[in-house]
Amino acid sequence: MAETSKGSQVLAVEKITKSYEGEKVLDEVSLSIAKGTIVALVGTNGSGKTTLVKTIAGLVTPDSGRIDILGSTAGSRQARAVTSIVFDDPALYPDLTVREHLGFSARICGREDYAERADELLGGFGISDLAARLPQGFSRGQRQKTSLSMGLVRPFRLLVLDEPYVGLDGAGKTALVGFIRQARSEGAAILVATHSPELLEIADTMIALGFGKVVYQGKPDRAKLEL
Amino acid sequence: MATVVGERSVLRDLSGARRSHFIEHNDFLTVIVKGYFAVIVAGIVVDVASNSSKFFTFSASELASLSRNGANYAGAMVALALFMGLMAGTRGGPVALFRAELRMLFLSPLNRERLIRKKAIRALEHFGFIGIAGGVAVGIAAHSLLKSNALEVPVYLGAYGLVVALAYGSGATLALGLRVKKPIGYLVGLAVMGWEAFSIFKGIKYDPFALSGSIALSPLSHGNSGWIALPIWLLICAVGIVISARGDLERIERHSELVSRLRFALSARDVRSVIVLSRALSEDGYRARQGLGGLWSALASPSSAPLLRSASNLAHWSPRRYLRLVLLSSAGVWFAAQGWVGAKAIYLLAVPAVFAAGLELADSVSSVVEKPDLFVNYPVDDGWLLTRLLVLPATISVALALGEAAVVHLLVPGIPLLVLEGIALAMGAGAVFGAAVASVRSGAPPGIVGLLTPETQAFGFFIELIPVAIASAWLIPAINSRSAALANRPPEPDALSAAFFALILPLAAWAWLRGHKVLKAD
Repeated sequence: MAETSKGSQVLAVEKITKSYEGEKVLDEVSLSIAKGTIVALVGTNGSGKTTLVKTIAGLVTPDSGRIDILGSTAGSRQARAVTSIVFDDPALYPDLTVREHLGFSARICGREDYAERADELLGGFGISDLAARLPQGFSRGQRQKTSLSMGLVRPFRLLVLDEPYVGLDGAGKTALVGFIRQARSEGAAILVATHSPELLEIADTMIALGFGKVVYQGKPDRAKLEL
Repeated sequence: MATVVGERSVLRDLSGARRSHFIEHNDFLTVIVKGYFAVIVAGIVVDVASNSSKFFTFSASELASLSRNGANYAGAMVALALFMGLMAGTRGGPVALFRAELRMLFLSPLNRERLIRKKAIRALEHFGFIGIAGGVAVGIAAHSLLKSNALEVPVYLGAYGLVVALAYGSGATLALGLRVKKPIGYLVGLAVMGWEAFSIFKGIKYDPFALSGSIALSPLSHGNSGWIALPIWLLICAVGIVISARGDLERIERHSELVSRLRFALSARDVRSVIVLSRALSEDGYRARQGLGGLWSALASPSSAPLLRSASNLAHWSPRRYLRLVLLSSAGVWFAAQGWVGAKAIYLLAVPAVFAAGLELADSVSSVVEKPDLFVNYPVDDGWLLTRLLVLPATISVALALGEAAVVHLLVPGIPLLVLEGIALAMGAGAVFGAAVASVRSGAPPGIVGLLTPETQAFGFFIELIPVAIASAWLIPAINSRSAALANRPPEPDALSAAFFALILPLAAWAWLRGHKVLKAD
């Protein structure tokens, strides 16, 4: 990815370092993602994947280094306007229906014509029948599908997914891969933090983190999944 | 794309949608029942406090002394609130977000600063309400003590409660916005407390905290200079709210996570979790639970494992925890003894003190609830595992209570030692077993209920009430005999006891109905 031209670059992470109580969780991590590409971020538990995702979201402030999203600093309003992030633990309002979750996710990001896209996502994930229900009593998979739909219904140029396969059934996984491919074809840059070998198959590049450092960057390679 | 067109209208629609679902799905019967019990509890507290205050009679010289020095002591409360606020701010308070809010709103292009300020204002409104309500309640209870107007004292103490709340809010928002680190916040807070201690020692009347405290004493001193503190604290709070938007989202997120767990535990009336999480919140981290370590595993034969595990847990407690336990149980015995002799005491403090001490001691039971797999292979009959786990805590509890009873016997004349030791014994054992049963019943997955003997399961709800009942049993004759003596009539303990226990009946009925509903839902 080092040769990615600046013009097509959507996300640029430059020498990010983050420590907690003296322990480096991210150690001079650098990476970049061009538009229309999928990057798989892999690594063992505690390798720093989620911290990196939170830093891109602007929820964690790095000790040093810089993250640019289409020329804006991560966490700024401009950066948030073009970045959609879905975390691995779905968090839903107990008092909003699934359709309302999707509607407000879209409207808050300035998209008013969301209805058709919402139907497409709910249908794709097989949760159309849950659209009018509150999420109380939903299974982990149903919550994950709702959360993914919320991330995909809003406009974005950078899509970041943290462990998106967790809780999904086979049909849900297939639908997700379809939606990720669709986003790539529309020019979005996609970063997927994952442990799943299946997601490597659709990635253009794989970046492996180990103890907070980039230990591999290149073509997806299943053998390097748990470096 | 830096701003969202119609940001306010979208947020308004979001609130409206949530509100309409809340109204549509909320069980108003439960709300009414909760309100009913809240009123009963508040009524008991105010009534007991009000009755207690009648036992006091301040002499003219005592009133003059209170008028002279009371502002400094009331000011110390304001300084303490500021200290606590500073500590809360260094941990990410007072802003508490739902995780869904964090994900939907804070990852969107909405103005994060405005959202944080809005949350800070909501939190301060909440503190302000609690401060005013608390002040007014104390005012109602204490007006006769101060020999002052029944309306004037609650108003002044309400205003004082607001000042205390604003001091807390100021400390919290300023520490959050300025991203004050914990040691710095602690040092600043200690400096503030030290300053106020110096003022008390030297009798300095014109430091800012004493001035704030003088509002509470206005009915005695008939001076209104303290009112100037109110707009000043409001101004500081407003500055704090403005800069709170610069707060560290990571701290806010961590704080919010703990608060949301605490809210859930509160909504589930899970007393054990509430206490554990409150402690985690104050320590800014989760409690590290000691596992069944290698040494203990090597020592333990399968049948003695529960006992050794219990000992292992106790051995790994921090000195701070032992100190807290001694203080809590001392308070319980002390207040109960004070109740017996009918002297000055806030009797009801015995109940939470004893129950909290019991929860501390019954900690090993939490392991059973949270990690049932650890105990699956123990060759211990169902129902007896819990008992074995509680042998050591109960022994320590009883030993502590007996020791404290001896000390109380020396300090509070008029109670036979035998009686006092009997109380202590019952309180110690009752607290541990009551709290343990409460722990198991409140958080247990279905299989864990099998750890209780059938008899304990059948009477579990009433066993949970043991600590409360024991402590309460001391309040009834104490209050009743004192009231009767003051009114020059014979005591009527039966009537009072019946009245008290009648209050428990709706609670029991409600618990039964709730259990019935859950079973039906399953």
